[in-house]
Amino acid sequence: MKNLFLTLAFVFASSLSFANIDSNVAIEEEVLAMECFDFNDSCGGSWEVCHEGVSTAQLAAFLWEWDGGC
Amino acid sequence: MKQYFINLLLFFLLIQFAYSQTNYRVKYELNFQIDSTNSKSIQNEIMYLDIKKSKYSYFRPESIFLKDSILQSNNPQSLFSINKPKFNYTIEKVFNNNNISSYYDYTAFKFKLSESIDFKWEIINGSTKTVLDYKVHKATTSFKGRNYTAWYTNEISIQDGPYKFKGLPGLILELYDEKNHYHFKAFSIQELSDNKPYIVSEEYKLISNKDFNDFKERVKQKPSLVLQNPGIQIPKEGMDKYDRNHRERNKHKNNPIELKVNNE
Repeated sequence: MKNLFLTLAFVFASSLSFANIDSNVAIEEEVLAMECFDFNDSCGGSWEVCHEGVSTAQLAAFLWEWDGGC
Repeated sequence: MKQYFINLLLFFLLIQFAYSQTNYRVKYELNFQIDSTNSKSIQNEIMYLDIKKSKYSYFRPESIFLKDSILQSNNPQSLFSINKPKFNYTIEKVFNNNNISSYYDYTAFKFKLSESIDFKWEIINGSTKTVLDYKVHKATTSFKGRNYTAWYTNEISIQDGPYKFKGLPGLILELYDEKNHYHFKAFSIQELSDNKPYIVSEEYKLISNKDFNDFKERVKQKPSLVLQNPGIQIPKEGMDKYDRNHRERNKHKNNPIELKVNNE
C-alpha cells in the first residue's frame, strides 16, 4: 500500500514537472513570436514597437492614435 | 380642375418617393469654440451626414468615416495619410423612431450609448433665407443645456440634420447654439449610389451614461488608457509622452456640445 502511494505520488509529481516544462516552452514560443520594428512618428522620433497576436488593422489604429505621443 | 390637383398631388408624392429611395451625403462644416472662456479658440471639422434611403443615417467627422473605411480595406497602413478627428463619435439615427445610438471609438475601448430623444421644435413663421440655393425656414429648440436655431428646407423632405438633431419637416442645413459655440452649416449635398456605414456595431459595448462619464474621467487622468493593448509593446517613455501631451491639450477642452446629461 505504501509503495502504491509512493508510486502515485511520483507519477503526480512527474506530470506536474512536465506541465511546468511545457509552459516554459510556451512562453519561449510567445517571446519568439513577438515581432519588432522601428516606427517613425510624425515629429521625427523613432521607436521600437513589438507586437504579437494583433491584426494589421489593430496595429495601424494603435500607432495612428499613439504617433509617438506627438 | 380636379384632375389638375390630382396630378399635382401625384407629382409631390413622386418627389417624396424619389427622396426616400435615394442615398445622400450631406457635408457640414462645423466651427466650434473649444474653450468657453476664449472666443479665439475656434476650431473646425468637416462632418458627414450619410442618409440611407430615408431609413437611417450616420453622422460623424469625415476622418472617422475615412478611418473606418481604411481599417476595413486591404491597406490599413494608409490610415497614416489622414488627420486625426477632433471628435470620436458616430451617431446613428433610425427614422421610424426616436432612438439614437452614439458610437464612441477610443481605440482600445469602443462604447455605444443609446437614448431616446423627442425634440420639441418651435417653427418661426415668416423667417426664411437661402442656404446652398435652398429656401430654408427657421426653427428653434433646446437640447442638453443649449438653445439652438435651425434652418431647414422642406425642398428636401428628409427629417434629419447634423449631430442628434432631427424631427423638422425637412433637412436641417444650418444649426447653431445661441452663443455660437457650435455652428454646423451644410456646404455640399451629394447623391450616392451606395453608402456603406463602415461601422461594426458588434465591436461596441453598450454602456450607461454614468459608466461612460466615469470612463471619460479616467481617460482625462490617464490618456494612454485608450492605448491599452497587451499585444503591443512600446517604450514606457512613449506612453509617458502621450500622457503629457494629451493632458496639456485637454486643459483647454472645457466646452462640450452637451452641457447637461439630460435634456431638461
